[in-house]
Amino acid sequence: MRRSSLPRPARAGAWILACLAVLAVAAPLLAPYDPAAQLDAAESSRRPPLSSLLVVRTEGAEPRLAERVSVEGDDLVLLRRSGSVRLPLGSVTNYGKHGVTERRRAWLGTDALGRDLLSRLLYGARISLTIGLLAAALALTAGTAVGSLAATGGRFVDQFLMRTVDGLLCFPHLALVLLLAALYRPGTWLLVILIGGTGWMGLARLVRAEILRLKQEPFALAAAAAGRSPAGVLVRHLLPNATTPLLIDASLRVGGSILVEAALSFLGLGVQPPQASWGSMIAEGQSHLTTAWWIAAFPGLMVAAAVIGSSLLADGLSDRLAGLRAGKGRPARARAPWAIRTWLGQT
Amino acid sequence: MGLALAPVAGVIRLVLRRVAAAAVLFLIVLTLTFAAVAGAPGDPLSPNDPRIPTEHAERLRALYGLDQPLPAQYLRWLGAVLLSWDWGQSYQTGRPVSDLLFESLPPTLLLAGGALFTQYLLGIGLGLIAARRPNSWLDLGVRAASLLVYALPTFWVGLMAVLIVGVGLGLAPIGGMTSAAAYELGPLAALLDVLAHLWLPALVLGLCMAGDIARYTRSSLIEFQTTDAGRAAKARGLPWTRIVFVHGLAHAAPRLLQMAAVSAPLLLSGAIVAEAVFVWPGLGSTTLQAIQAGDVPVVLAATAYGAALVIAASLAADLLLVRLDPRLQAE
Amino acid sequence: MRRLAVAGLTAVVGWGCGSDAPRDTTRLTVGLRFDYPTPNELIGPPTLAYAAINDQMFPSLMEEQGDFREGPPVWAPGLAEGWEFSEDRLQLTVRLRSDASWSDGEPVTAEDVRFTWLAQTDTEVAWSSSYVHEATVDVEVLDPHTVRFHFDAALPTALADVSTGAILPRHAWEARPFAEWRGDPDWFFDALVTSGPFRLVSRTPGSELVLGRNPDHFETDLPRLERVILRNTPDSTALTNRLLAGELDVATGIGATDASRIDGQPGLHLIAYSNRQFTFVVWNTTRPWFADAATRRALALAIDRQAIVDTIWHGYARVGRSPVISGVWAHDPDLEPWPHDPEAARTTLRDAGWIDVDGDGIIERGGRPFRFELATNTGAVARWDAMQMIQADLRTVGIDAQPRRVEPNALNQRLPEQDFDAAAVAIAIDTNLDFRPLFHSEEVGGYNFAAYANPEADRLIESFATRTDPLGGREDLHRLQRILRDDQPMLVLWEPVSLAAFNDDLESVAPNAVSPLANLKEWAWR
Repeated sequence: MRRSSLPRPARAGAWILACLAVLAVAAPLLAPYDPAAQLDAAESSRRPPLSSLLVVRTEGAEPRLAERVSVEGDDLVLLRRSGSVRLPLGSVTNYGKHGVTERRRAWLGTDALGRDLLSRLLYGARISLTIGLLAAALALTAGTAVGSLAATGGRFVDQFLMRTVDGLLCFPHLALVLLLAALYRPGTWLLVILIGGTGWMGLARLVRAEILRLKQEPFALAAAAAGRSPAGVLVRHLLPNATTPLLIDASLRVGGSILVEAALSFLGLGVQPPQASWGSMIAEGQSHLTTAWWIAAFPGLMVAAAVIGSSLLADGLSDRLAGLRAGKGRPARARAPWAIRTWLGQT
Repeated sequence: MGLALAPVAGVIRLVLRRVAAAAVLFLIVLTLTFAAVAGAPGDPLSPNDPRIPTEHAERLRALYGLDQPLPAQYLRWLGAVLLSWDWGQSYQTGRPVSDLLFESLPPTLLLAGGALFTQYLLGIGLGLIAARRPNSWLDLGVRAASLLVYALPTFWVGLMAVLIVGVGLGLAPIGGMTSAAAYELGPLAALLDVLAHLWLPALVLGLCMAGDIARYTRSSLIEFQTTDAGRAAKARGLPWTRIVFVHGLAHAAPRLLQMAAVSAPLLLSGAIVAEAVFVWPGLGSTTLQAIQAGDVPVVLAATAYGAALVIAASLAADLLLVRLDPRLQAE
Repeated sequence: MRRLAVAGLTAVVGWGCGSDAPRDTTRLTVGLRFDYPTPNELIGPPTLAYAAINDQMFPSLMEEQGDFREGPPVWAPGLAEGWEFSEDRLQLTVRLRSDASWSDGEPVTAEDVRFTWLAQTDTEVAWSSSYVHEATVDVEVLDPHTVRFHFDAALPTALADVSTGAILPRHAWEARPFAEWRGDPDWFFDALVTSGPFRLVSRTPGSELVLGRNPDHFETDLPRLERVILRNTPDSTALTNRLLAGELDVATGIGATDASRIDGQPGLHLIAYSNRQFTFVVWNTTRPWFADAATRRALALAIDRQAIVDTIWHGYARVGRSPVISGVWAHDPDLEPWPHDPEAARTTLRDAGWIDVDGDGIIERGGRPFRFELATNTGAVARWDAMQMIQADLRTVGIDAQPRRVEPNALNQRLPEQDFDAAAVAIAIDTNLDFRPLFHSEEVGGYNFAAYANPEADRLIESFATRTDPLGGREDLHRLQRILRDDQPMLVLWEPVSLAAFNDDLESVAPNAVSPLANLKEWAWR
């Protein structure tokens, strides 16, 4: 598939996702601080974006933070949130000609325990995107397998699989994930399995319909007539022709899985620390919404960015697909049934 | 005579088949839920005070039938459910589960209904606006907005709405379904009171789901204008609004209806979150609370109720579609 | 009240109340997190929130006063107007008020007291607190207003035991066999008669409960409010939002992060009061990391509890020093808690044999790295934050603590079985200061989660428990606190407070450790 054939919004979507992926991969290089470090938490917690604190280091003790420092006699006076603290000047190891100059700067603010939000966002991207991508991949694999099997495995297999799919689709997806998450208390990997493993049903239907349709196409009939085994026809001819709708679904599912994880975290059943996902960061910030909006706002924006990226990409793909199906001469934007159908399979 | 009856009989057969399929589905759902809960680790009835004598727990276990082997538990549970709609007693409160759910079902239906209404009102409205001039700024704006509301987590939008509209502007109560001591109100005042509590959660939930509808309405209307019927309507010189409202929406209606059915699970998922944010005393809150407390009978029943709602919604949509689309009757 | 609820594992209490511009001074709206499935306490949920509501309609014989600063609990008359022990303390004779009556006009009699005891101890009723009557052998009706409890052991907790649980209406509830009580909790609403200052006016399950003034209440002029509307408000943020939006006049159970939004609001004031709890990390001494006291002391030195409390409680709570919390008469004011001293912690650990041999940053002893799981129950927000700070603190001395959230029921099961490494738990102290469940070596399998055993501690606990003059045992308890400080079976983190906000125009409010609604009947609008 040539990139240039993608419309502009889809390319934007792909770019957004790529940027997020780069941020996630490069997190150790980009993050200004250790995402789990709580340096002098009582002083550094819930600091707003762009704020900074002076770091006062003393021999053999944890560094202390202060808004301002001044010298009074032989003491260094640290002006802190809770009042001022005096330290003997001699014990301060980083007091130089210009006083204390070391600063801890929180570009996006700090969370309730004084951890640097920017660093956490970057590391959180790893968890959130991992969950998004792996859950999507899992759903894609499971959906494709079940869908193909149903479409090619004969009437009984088809009936059995599709009735099971119908049954599973009857659960409100979130309720199902919630139920399983509460019962089996997942870590990150189990979460992937849960979100991916409960999201393949719509896809199985889609794959089945697509393969049944493609089976009637001349090229598939020709391949079958030429003596290829059904499995060979499936793998060599049918599935490759169904990739675009699958990609559309997968793309949407990345965003959808991130949203599900966020909702799970909000309801208290997301990833377990010290790992932090964007979802769990929003959940942590929830009780500070009015007093420290930034704790929940930035991860919220990241989730939105990821979901928008994956939706735009899927949209563009489906437009392209619609264009391919409709043939030339018809406006490509006129039909986007795929996007609608797959969208409804989400969350 | 015979000519008139044939389609009716066909419809009845179709309806019966769908209802039977729905019943089988429901049975599958019940079994799957029971299996999931039965396989879970942990004992919800273990006393949380080590000094409580063991007879106490045993007595409770016997009361809830947990002293029997699992298959027997399953059959007893299924039998009670199917024969007398008896879902057992809540571990937490001891109340009959069917009472508990009977109380929490109407609020959820109300919230879901309100959200569905807002979803379609906003979705179709925005879709119309966008379709009026495709690729204009307005169109782009609507599309961007529908993407944004889809991308933002529902609970986030809800929390913000509570803070800004409720606490900040004072335009809506902070959650709940009624005001304090609403039992003193007359019927009309009580209705208005509920509506005052309903509008914000319904708006938030509807808004977060309106994107699909807006996008479909838009693309369907644009597509309609390229069909023979659309071109014919335009050639007859009908005004745009008439083309769109009368013919275009009629063209989109069956699919929109189907979308409503398909999005029923989505709506219920959204309702769980919205109920948590808006302290709405419905099925979602009940489910969540029961899950957290390990209240197995309530969890089982609430999940089954949710599934039943979904099955009912898709059944209703199927049947309506049959009415709307005569081709299906021949099927 | 001899109720040692594992707080936080059971329920979070939250309250609030509301009214609009021209205040309707006859009503008060209280929002709280509650479940009121039945008026029958014996089959109701064993939570403090439930008890706080039920007490308004069903008084017990005596009422425990909420102040333990000067001495052991003091008992004020409830339905009983007087009581006396026999010489050997094996008999307790209680005289009932003659003017107390049920809401259907029937008098409250000694028969009701006996009926209550029968119900409380019935195995079919399966009351979760039935153990309070372990020593009660009979309840004898002497005359309609006099009743005598017979015990087979002279327990110092006798008064607490007989007034745990409300007195039930025999004439109304006797019709239903005990075996059927648990089957239908709704039945008791149909057969509801009450004897307390308030009566039930209306209820909307899950959302609202409305209490109305009992005009025939035996305490004249009480209660002072006509209507009290209890609104179920499950979480702190919603509670605070409702309060700030004017829907509530009173809110208790506010989280520390929300408190700053209320502090300084005109027309509202915030009260922080002790809820008799302390939050601690219990070390499972059967696990190799925590087997020796020196290592446990090092953990105490490594953890900066002041920073934890400052960060999480925003100055509303204080660092805990001992299981005998600071508001209680037997608390040892001279007890020196372990300071935060990571360097001393490192030295202590090294001396105890913990050295980072393989250079991975985690210390080891006998080839076993110091890596353990620190558990708490899901839903414990403050403890969860604290555990992450503990994780960071311990990391600086080479210990890897993994915070883990466990579903409450599962944790309840695992703690007494020593199926955990370390856990952050909160507990409400027994007002009789009986520390046997927590620290006695014979209580392993019970509340002694640490599996702690120290013969000296056992002896002190036993000698205090058998005293009939608790005040004389002050020294014993001081000694016990010092032993616990040195043995460190648990690290006391903080003494949580309950935060409540009240409308300035409300008078006589006095929330106490027993219940935030303790004196609801005396509340009134100015």
